[in-house]
Amino acid sequence: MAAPALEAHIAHRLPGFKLDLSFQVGRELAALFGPSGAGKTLTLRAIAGLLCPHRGRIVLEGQVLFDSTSGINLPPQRRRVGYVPQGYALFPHMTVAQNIAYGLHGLPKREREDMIARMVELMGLQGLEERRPHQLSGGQQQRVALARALIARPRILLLDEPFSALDEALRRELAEEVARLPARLGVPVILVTHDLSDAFHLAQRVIVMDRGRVLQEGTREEVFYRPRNRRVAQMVLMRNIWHARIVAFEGDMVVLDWQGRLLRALRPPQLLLQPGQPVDICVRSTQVMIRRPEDDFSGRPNVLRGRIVHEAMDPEGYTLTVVLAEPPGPQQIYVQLHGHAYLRLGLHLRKDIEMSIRPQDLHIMPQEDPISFMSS
Amino acid sequence: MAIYPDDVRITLQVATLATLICLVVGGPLAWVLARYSFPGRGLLSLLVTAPLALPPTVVGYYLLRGLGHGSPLGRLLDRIGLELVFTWQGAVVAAAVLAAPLFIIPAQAGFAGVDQELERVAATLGRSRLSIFLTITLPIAARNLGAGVVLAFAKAVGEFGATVMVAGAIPGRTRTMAVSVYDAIQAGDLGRANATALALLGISLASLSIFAALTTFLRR
Repeated sequence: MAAPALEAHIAHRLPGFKLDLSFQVGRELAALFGPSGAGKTLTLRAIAGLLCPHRGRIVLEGQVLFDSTSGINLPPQRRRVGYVPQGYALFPHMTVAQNIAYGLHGLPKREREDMIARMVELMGLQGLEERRPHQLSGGQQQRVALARALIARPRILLLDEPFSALDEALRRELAEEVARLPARLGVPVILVTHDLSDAFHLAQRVIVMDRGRVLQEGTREEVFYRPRNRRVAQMVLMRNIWHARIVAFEGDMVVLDWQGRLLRALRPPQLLLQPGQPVDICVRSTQVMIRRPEDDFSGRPNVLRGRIVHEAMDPEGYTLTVVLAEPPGPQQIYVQLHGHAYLRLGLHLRKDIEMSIRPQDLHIMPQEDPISFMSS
Repeated sequence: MAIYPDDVRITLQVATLATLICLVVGGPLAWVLARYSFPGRGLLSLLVTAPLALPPTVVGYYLLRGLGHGSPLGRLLDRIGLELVFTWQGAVVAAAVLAAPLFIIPAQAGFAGVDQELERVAATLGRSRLSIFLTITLPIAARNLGAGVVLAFAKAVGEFGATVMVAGAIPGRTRTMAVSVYDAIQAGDLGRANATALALLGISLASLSIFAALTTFLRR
C-alpha cells in the first residue's frame, strides 16, 4: 500500500453498540466489508463529520479532521469529503442539474455552468439535466449522486452500499466505473458493502468489520485465502472450516490431526504455534482437487476419500458435499468446481471420489476465545 | 339587513393575525417535536394538540381565567398595557390557540418527512445549516406547511366558542362573522344571518380548495 491517505481511529458508543476500530486507506479503492449492524455506516459518517465519535483521531492527507485529545472536530462543510449515502439521497425537489450544482456555491454563473456541463458529460447524463430524481433509473440516480459528490472536488469519496438498489447487469457495469474512480481522481474511495462479491470484485484493500470492530485488514487475496480467524473465514464464505490439533513440525510443514486424519499445512510464518495446540483450519472449496483417472495421488499429502452426497448448482459451477470414508465419521468436505470439470470427471451423486489439498492451500488460524466462538 | 363590513374586517384581521402567530410560534414547535426527543416531549405534544379535542368554550373559559385581571399573567399584561378580555386582540389569542394544532400537526409531519440524509449530504457539500434549511428542508416540507397554514386560517375564520368567551360580541370591536351569525339569529335578523353565513361559507370553501390543491394537485 502507498502512504496512507486516510488514517482513522474511531471509538463511539451507542445504546447496545460499541464501535472501536482503526484502519488506514491509501489512494485506492478500499471496501469496508461486513454484515449489516457492523458499524460500517457509522464509520463513514464519522469520517464525513456527520457523527462526532467519543474518542479517536481521523487524519486525511495530513490534515487532522478529528482528534478527541486536542479537541479538533472540523465540521462536514470544511472536510471536503464526498459522501454518497445508501439510496443516494438525491434532492427530490431539484432537477439533475440543480442536484449536481448544489456543491458549487459562490462561483460565477458562467464557471458554474461550464463545470456542470462537463460533469454531465463525464457521467453520461446528457439530456437528463432537467429531469427530477424520481424520473431516473437506479443507475442514472447513482451517476447523479456521484456527479454531485465529485463536482466539489472531494479529497476522499465515501460510498455506502452503492449497488444495493441495482439489478445484476447494471451492478456489474457501474461497479467497473466505480473501480476506476481512484485512478481517475487520485483520491481514495471507501466503499461500504455487505456483499462479498462487490468487495472482492472492486477493492484492492478489504477491511473486514463485525460488531463495531475491524477483524482483518489486508489485500483481498489475504482476506479471501488467509482469513485471520473462524469468523472472518465464515464471512468470506469459506465452506471448509475445521477444528484440528497440532501434532508436530516437519521443516516448513505443520502436521495436524483432524478427527483422526493427519493433514499437512504450510507453516504460517507469523503465527506462534505449539504441538498439542487446538487450531482452526480452512480451505476454500475451489482449492480442493478431485483426482482424475490419469492422476497418481500416491505420495501426495492430504489425500482424502469420500462419497458425493449432495450437489448444488449455481451459475459458476457445482458445489459438491462429500462425506469422508475413513476413518468413518460424519465429516463433510465441500468441493466447488466448474461445470466442464464436473462433466469431464464423470461425477454424479453417490460416486466415490479421491481428493487432495495442497499444503499451501490449507490455512491455519488461531482458535478464537470460547466466548466469541460460542456466539458466532 | 345585509352583512356588516366591520364583522368582515374584524374576522379577516383576527384570522390573519392568529394564523401568523401559529406560524411563528407553531413552526419552531413543530420543528422541535419532529426532530428532537427530550423529557417532556410527550406532554408538550399533548398540550399543543389538546385544543383539538377540548370543547372550545372550555378552552375559552380557561383563557378568560388565565388572561383576566385576577390572574398573574393578566396583571403582567396589564402592566404592558395589553388588554385581552373583551378586545379583538383577545379574539386573536383565542383563535390562535384553537387553530394551532391544525398547523402544527401537518407541519410536524412535514419536517419529520424530510430525509435527514439529504441534509447530511448537503452539509458535506459545504452548505451552512441555515442554507441547508432554506434550500432543502423548507422546500420539501413546504407543501405540508402550506396545508397547515390554510387549515389554521380556515379554523381561525370560523372559531366561535372560545372567541365569544374571551372577546365577547361587541359590534365593530370584537364581533367576528361567526359570532355575528349567532348574534343575528338571536336578534331575529335573518337577512344578516343569511348574508354572513354565505360569506363565511365562501371563505371556508376557498380555503379548502387551496388546501386540496396543495395536497393533491401540487404533488410534484
